[in-house]
Formats: sequence, structure tokens, C-alpha cells
Amino acid sequence: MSATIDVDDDSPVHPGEHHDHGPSDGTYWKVFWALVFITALEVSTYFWDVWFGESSWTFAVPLLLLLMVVKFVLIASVFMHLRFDSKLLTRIFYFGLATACIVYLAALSVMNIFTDNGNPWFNDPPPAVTPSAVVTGEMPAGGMGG
Amino acid sequence: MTDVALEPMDDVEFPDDVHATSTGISNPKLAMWTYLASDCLLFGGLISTYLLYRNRPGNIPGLSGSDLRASELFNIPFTSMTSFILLMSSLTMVLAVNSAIRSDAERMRLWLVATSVLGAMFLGGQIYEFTEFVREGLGFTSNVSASSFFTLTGLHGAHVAVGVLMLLSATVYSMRRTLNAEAVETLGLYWHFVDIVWVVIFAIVYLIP
Amino acid sequence: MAITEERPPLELTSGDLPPVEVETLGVFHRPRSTHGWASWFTTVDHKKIGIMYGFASFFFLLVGGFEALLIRTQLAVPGNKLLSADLYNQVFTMHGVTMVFLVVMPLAAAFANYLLPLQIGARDVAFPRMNALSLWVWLFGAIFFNTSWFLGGGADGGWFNYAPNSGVVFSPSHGIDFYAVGLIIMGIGSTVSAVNLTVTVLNMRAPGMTLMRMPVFTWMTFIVQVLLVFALPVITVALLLLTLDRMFGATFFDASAGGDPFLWEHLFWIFGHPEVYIMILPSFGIASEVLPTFSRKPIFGYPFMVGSGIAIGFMGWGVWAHHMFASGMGPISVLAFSLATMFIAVPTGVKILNWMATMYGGRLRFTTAMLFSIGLVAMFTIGGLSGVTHAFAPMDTQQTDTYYIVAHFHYVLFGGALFGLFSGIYFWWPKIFGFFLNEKLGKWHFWLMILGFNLTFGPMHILGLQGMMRRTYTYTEGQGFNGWNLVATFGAYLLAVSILVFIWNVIRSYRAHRRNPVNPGPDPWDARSLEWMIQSPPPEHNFDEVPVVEDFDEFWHRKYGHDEQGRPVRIAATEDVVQKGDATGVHLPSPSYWPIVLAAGLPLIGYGVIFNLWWALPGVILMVAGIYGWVLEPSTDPSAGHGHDDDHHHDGDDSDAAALDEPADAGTADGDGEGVDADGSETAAEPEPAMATASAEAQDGGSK
Repeated sequence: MSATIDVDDDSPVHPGEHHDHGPSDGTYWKVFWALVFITALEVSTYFWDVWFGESSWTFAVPLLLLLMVVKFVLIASVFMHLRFDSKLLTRIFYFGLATACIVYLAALSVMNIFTDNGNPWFNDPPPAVTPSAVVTGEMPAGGMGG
Repeated sequence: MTDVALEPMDDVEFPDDVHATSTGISNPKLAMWTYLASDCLLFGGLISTYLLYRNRPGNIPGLSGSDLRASELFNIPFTSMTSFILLMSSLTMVLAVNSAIRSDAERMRLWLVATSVLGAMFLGGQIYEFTEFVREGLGFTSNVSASSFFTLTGLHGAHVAVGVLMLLSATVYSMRRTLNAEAVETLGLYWHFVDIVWVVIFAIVYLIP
Repeated sequence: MAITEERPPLELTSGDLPPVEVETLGVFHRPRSTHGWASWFTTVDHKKIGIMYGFASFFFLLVGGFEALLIRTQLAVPGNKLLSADLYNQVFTMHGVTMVFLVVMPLAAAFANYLLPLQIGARDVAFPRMNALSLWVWLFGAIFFNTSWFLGGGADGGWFNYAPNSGVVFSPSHGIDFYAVGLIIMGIGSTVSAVNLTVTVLNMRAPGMTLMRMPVFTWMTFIVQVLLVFALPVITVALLLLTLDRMFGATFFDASAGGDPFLWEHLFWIFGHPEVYIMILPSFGIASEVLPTFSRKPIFGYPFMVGSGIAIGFMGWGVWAHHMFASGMGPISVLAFSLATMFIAVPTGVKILNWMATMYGGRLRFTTAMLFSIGLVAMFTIGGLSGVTHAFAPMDTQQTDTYYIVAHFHYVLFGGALFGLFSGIYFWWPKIFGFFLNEKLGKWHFWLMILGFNLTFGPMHILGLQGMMRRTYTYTEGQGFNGWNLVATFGAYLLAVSILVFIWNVIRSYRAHRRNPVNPGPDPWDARSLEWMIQSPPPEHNFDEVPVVEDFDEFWHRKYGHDEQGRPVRIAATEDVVQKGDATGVHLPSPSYWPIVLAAGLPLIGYGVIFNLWWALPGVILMVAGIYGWVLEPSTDPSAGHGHDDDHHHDGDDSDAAALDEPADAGTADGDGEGVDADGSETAAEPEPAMATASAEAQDGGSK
């Protein structure tokens, strides 16, 4: 995004000074249309299995996550002015976000939601419990990476 | 080297509530961002709860609770529309902030009201969605998947409702008093945060099966 | 670099009302008084708020201590019938929650509130009214939580309250409801306070006070506030789910309906482990102020002290599952968390070594404050070492839920946190109240406490390794637990005596002060940081002139230079350096009754959630009224005679994001290039009378 910054006051601009004025209305509209387009793309994945078949989900999930991140960053950087404000704000916010992602992903991993915890019912679809797995006493994998 | 430099306090004139700060960021804005960073962990916790429980009890034999999952009742076209409405409210919010920066009070109030109307529409959509779920037999206590869904989206809705109230209050306030642009911007930060939380919820909860 | 706001705030002039005319919501006039008992309820002064935090949490220390004595009396002999099993569960749960959330955290908050603005050279915190709000929210939440004793019994699930014991099936009384709702309320207060103090440290520093010139106490408190900001929402989620489970029929933690009791454990400990550091780091900060002062040496390895504090804060997020080694979460998870736990001992060890290096070769003065700080270093080391033994999962599995664990965390939280807080009480008492605590009684207090402490918790190591389980209301003859339990109970009563000695010390010292007031002067200990540069007790406006900081240990460097051998040489008399406290024309934020009104709504909502939702209505109305009254009221009363408040102002040397990483250049101390040189000799030119004989009343009057 090449955001234009309105410099319409005559205060001296010090190097590193962050300008309080955000982008112009036009920039906001452009970003908005980009967000609308991304949202439309996101919603379209809902119909992919009809259009392209079941296997398209393999691509849809990473794409959805990617688009989610792009939307998130766009709104945070432009609408919330992170790009134009002090770096400190960016650090504080993304530090909180990173903390949230790391601790919760770790906790969910420990609770085996991304992996097979050996419990045939708490995953969907239930993994096949073969007699051999029971007989050999195969250990379920622990968490991934703790 | 240890000469004492003292700054006479009487010489400085500063308008109300605006002080030079050590970081150059005003106090309310810094506080709002700190709070939003903190809120990331609140919503993160509830999203994780939903992820953990979304398929339960499902086909687990012997457990109490309805077999219906929240995800089976999602109406994606409808939710896409409400998501779009919330996205649009973010646009009107930044336009309000820009009007405030230009000291255009009339425009600012117009955009603030537009934002709160869009927020109220989103809330209406959520209420419709909830009643629809209940009608189809999935109440808050039906099963753990429903509980976590309603808690997550309900808390988000509560944030939106608080935001709408603040927007309307700010609009009324600006008709009687002076409202500085930074207050509008700080309010906008809260509003956009509610929006980006919905961006995450919409993708992770609604679209990824 | 200089990012002063040169642009005036954009004012949207609209409507016909001139901006000065202010109508506020409410039937009462805005409170004006800053004196008398009533002023305490409306004050926004961070010092008064800090004192109230201190007294309230000391009251809860007595409550929690009484509960501890009940526990120890019950366990003194086998088969005791003093408490029933049910009552015992309530007593140990309430003891734990009280000591964590109602004593150690708020007592640290008392110091944070009082000292943080003083140590960074500010006139108040960033949001004075929000500061008052967090005090009242916490206090009302704490009282709300304790009213459960009279409304069907206290919480009985242990302070970490694992499912399924926390469910209605196993805990049908309202105790855990009060636990959940009460902690949510207190969490709101703590969040507000944490955001406020974070902003204060980042934004309100005096000119030249870069982050790496802040005193260690300020640093540790800052880290604690950041931890609180990020940890509290996690426990809020857990408590919200618990509330929904217990009162609204959800099944988040009910395994029979697909819920996962593990989720509670994870959420609780994701919060709970940072919480451990939230409790201990303020005391580390206090010791880092006390030890250098009474060793007459700067803190050894200041950057390492700060760095290890930050490292502890970071790593504290990655070790929570070591509380859950016995829960069966799988070998890989156990391994990862076990390793992380071993690593976190490293920064803690750095701190211990730095404290010892600070004392090494110093000119030590064994005041009571110093003794408590040394006690902290010693006792915390023991607790830390037993903590490392928990990092080894096989050993931990053996120790889980035994008295060994109880011994460990009392060594770190009592021997560490509480000793540090007592050290701070003795250290800053003359600054806060304008008279000394009696040193002789103080030393009795210390020696009785350290003896009683070790007699109480030392034997628990042995009891735990012998297999005595915690949270069991009695034991039988012949298990081999009798002797050490009796010793522990004796120690607990000794601790109670030491607390009585402390109370007697306060009363006696106060009486002596009333009979013959002797002001300790601004700098009774020959200390190092900025709060000692102003009068004792500090004037309401803190600093007559906001000091321009040029060094770490600024106040020390104004008093002392160095000779060729690097020994400190006095370059200025203390009386010449300190401020007189007689500034006029300083405008402070006006008192307000909205914080207490707003806070009063929360416990009402709490009762409503627990008993009948309609009862919450008055609470909601009170809160809404409080919020609107607050917003409509300007932070400074315009009719109080001052046009604006400049409770904090400085320009220049503002560390922006770049200065967070590197100390800013002291040469740029004044961005506008005025004042510095002209005022350079000001202190030397105006010798002030020795303050040591001035009475507290005179200074109080001088601040008006």
C-alpha cells in the first residue's frame, strides 16, 4: 500500500517524528475496497467444494489463514494508524498478539487438538482404533513441541 | 557533571490535559493500545476454547448434551453480510477521525452516527443468528460446543454494544462540548479492534470447517 | 527525537456553549478538600492511594494470617477435631486466595503507587482518577470475596480450584461463585491499575530519565505491570467460563458433557505462572533499592539486574505446565516444560549473585530494612533451590500435592515476597509518614519472624518427602508426622507474635512521634533515588521542580563525586540538594467521587449474578452514572482556581521508541535549549536550612 500522508500543517518535521495525521480519505477508501475484495475471496472458499470438489479444502484453509492475516494487518496498519504512529505502539500491540498466539497454540498443542491424542472420540472424524494398536500398546504422540 | 538543571514549572503553558510525554505518544492513546494488546489474550482464550470444543460432544457416546454442533447451523451468506457491515463501519470510523482532524464537526458527527448505525445492524444480525440457533434447537446450554460459540460471539457482541454506546455518547458530547480529535481517534482504535477480532473469528470460526 | 506536541489539540468548536462552562453530572458539588478523613474517599493523589492499598492489604494479612493459624492449630496433633473437613477446605482456600490476591499483590501495588511516580520524577500517575478507581474496585472486590463467609461459606476448591472440584456437584455452596466473581472484579481493578502504571512509566518520566536510568524497583514494577496486562485476561477467561458453568448451566469443565478439566488447568496456570513473578518481582525491586543503600555501593551489574528481570518476565510465559506434570499431558510436553523451567533459574540466579556482589566489600549497615532484604536473599535462595527440584519431572511427580510443595512456595512467597515487602515498609516508612519505626523493635520483629518462618516451613520439606499430603484436614497417629507438625505449629505462632511486635512497633513509634516529633529529614538513609530528594512526608505535588536526570542513581550523584581511587566523595550537602517542598502554583488533578461510585457498582452486580440477576440492576445504574459523571467532569476542577493542571510536564530528551533500546544522550536534556545552563548553579546558590528539624506540619503547610 502506498499511503499518502497529508502534510498540511507547518510544524517542523523532525527526523523520526511520527505524524499524527493519518492517510487521506482516498487511501481509506482504497484500503476498504481491498478489504471487501479479500472478504469476497474468503467467502468464496465456502463454495469451493461445490465448484472444485472436496480436495480443494487443502488449499482453502491455508489461504483463509493468509487472507485473515492480510486483513488484520491492513486494518491495524492503516485504519488504526500503526504505520504512521510511533513504533512503540506497534510493538506493544503485536507483543500482546504474539504472546496470545504462542501461549494458546502451545496450550492447544498440549491438549492434542492438532494431533491424535489416542482418544478415539475427541477427534473428528474418529481415528480408526485397530486391534493391533491396542495389542502392541502403541503410545500416542505427546504434544507437538510442547 | 552533576550540576542541577531545574526547570521552572511556572513558565509553561499547556492546554488542558495535553502534556508532552516521554514517548511523544499521548497517554490515552498509549493506554488504549496497551488495553487492546491485553484484550488479544482475552479473545485468544475464548477462540481457543471454541477450537477445543467445536466438535464436542458430536459422536462421543455416553455424554450428555445435544449432538448438534454450532458449525452445522452456520449461515455463511448471512454472516458474510454482517461481516461486511462491520467492515464498512470501520471505514466510516476512519472517515469520522479524518473529519475530526479537519475540525469538521458536522461531518464527524455524521460519520460517527453512521458507524454506530452499522454497529447496531451488526448486533441485530447477531441477535437474529442467535434466535435462529435457539429455534433450531441449539441453546446456550445444549452442549459444550454451543456454550463456547455463544460465549465467544456473545462477548464480541458485548464489545460491539459498548462501542456503539461510546460512539453515540461521543456524538452527543460533541454537540455540547469540545471533543478533541485524539479522543475520536482513540475511540476509533477500540472500534477497529472489535472489527479485527471479528476478522479472526469470521475466518477461524465460520469459514474454516 | 523531540516529539513534544507542538500542535495544539484539535478542538471542534461546536454548539453555543463556551468551552469553559462546565456542567457535571451529579447532585453533589465536586469535592475540593484534600484534608480530613473525607478526603481519603475522593482523593486521586497517588500517595494517599498507595497508603490505602497498604493499610487495606495489611488488614487482609491479619485475616489471612488468622486463617493460617487455624490451619496450623488443626494440624498440630493427629486426629484433631478443631475444624471439620469441610471447614478446613474453606479455610485453606481462603487463606491462599487472600494471601495471593489480597495481600502480596496489593501490598506490592501500594509500593508501586506510592513510589513509581516519585522514582521517575513525576507529579502523579498518568490517569489519577483511574488510579483511585483501581483501588476501590480492588477493595470492594476483596470485601465482596470475604463476605462469602457470611453467605454460605467460603470457597473450598483450593486457590487453583481444579475441576471437577470447582463444579456445583462437588461444591454446592456459593463459595466458589464468590471466588470466580470476586476475582473477576479484582482483576478489573488490577487491569486498570496495570495499564495506568505502564503508561506512567513509559510516558511520565522526568527529563533525562531514560529507561536505563530508572531505579531497579521501578523497572521491576514496570515488568510486573506488563505481566499483569497480559496475564489477567487469561484468568478472566477461565473465571468467566467457571461462572458460566456454575451459574448459567454451561459445561465447560464437566467431563461428563464433553468439557475438558484440562482447559481450566491450562488457563489457570498460563495466568498463574506469570502471577508468581508478579508477586516476587516487586520484592526483588525493593531489595535492589535497600541493599545498595545500606552497602553504600551502587547496585552491582545494573543492566544485568534489569535484563534478568525482563528475562524472567518473558520466560515466565513458557513454563506454566510445570504445575501440571502429574496431569498426564504426555512425555514431549513434560520434557519441553521441564527444560524451560530449568532455564528460568538462570536469570534468578543472576539476581542473587548480583545482590551478593553488591554487598561484597560494601560498608554494610544492618538496619531492620537491610536485615529483611538479606533475609529475602537467603530465604528465596532456599525456595529457589527447592523449586529447581520441581523442574525434574520424575521428582516432581513424587512431590506433587505434598507438603514439600507447600514448603517451596512459602519459602519464595513468604520468605521472598513478604520479607521484601517488610523490608520496603521499614525502608520507606520515614519517607511516607515522616517518622522512623523503632529499630530495636524492628530487629525483634525480624529475628522472631525469620525464626518462626523457618520453624514453620522448614519441617514441611521433611513432612512432604515423608509423604504427608497437603489439603488433607488431618492425619493419624503412627504416620510419623506428629513431631514436625507440632514444630511447624509452634513456628506459626511465633510468626503471629512477630506480626504483633510489628503492630506494637507502629503504635509505639507513632506515639513517640506524637509526643516529640522529630522529622527524619528528606534523606534519612543516605539513599540514592529521586524520592529521597523531596521532603518526608512528600508534599502533595511531589517535586517543586521536576528534576532533570543525568545519571542512574541521580540523587546519589548529586551528593557524591569520586576521588582518584573511585571512592565516593561528598560534593554537596544533602540539605543543598533536596527540594524544600514549598512550590506554589502547581496545579494538581482535583479530587473526584466518581471512582468510588463506579467501583461500588461492581460488587452489587456480583451479588446479582450469584443470587438474583435483578439485584444487579442498581449496580449497573450506579456504574453507568459513574462513567458518565466521570466523563463529563474535567480532570481538573476549573472552578478550583486554576486554568490547567501541569501535574507533569517536560520537554526535550523524550525517549521515543528508539530510546527504549539505548539510553538517550544526556546532552539533549532540554529540547528547547533554555534553562539548563542558567539554572545550573541554582542549588548551590540557595542554601536551604537543614530540614531535619522542620516538623511535618510545617512542610505540609508549605505545599499549599
